[in-house]
Amino acid sequence: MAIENQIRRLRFDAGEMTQAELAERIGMTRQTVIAIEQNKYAPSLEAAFRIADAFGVPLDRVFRWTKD
Amino acid sequence: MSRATSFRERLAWSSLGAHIVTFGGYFWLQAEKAGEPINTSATLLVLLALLVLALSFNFASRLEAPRGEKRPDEREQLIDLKAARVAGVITALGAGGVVVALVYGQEAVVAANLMLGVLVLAQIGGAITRIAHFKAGV
Repeated sequence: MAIENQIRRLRFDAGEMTQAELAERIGMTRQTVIAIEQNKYAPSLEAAFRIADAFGVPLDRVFRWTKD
Repeated sequence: MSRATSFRERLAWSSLGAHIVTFGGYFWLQAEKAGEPINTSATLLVLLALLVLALSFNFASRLEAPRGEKRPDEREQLIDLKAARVAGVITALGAGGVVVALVYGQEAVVAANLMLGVLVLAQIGGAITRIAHFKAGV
């Protein structure tokens, strides 16, 4: 997938925020957070903004699209 | 464990197991009595009991949904749509097969059983699709 994310790094920076905590904050299941973090699922734009908001960073700090 | 199964994945496994056990038993009995005169009312009664059992099981499973997982999130909704598409294709193909069977003179009761089999297969196909997507991602 051409979309990469920094969620693992951002969770670490946020005091080792757990996947369950992030899931709770963005209103998703932990398994969906795991799938996003492992680049197995590309979230909707709204979900992507919610993730960025949970970390208090702009969207492009969380997700990056690279041309194949 | 870094990847516990979600409530909805467990539900898909339960649905798969329930369908295989209940309807597998039903079709096993039907196959054993093939060729004998069919007791329609007894067959309908067994079928109704199985349907009630399957529905009760599904309802009970949903009641046990953890807090915050009662409603599917966007990924789970996408997985549901993909599973529904697979089930729809199986149903459409199977229904076509049942019509062909009727045209070639198959008995109505046999055709009804074939259609029931198609619907059960569609549910099983949907459950397998769900499980595969939960495991491998969307």
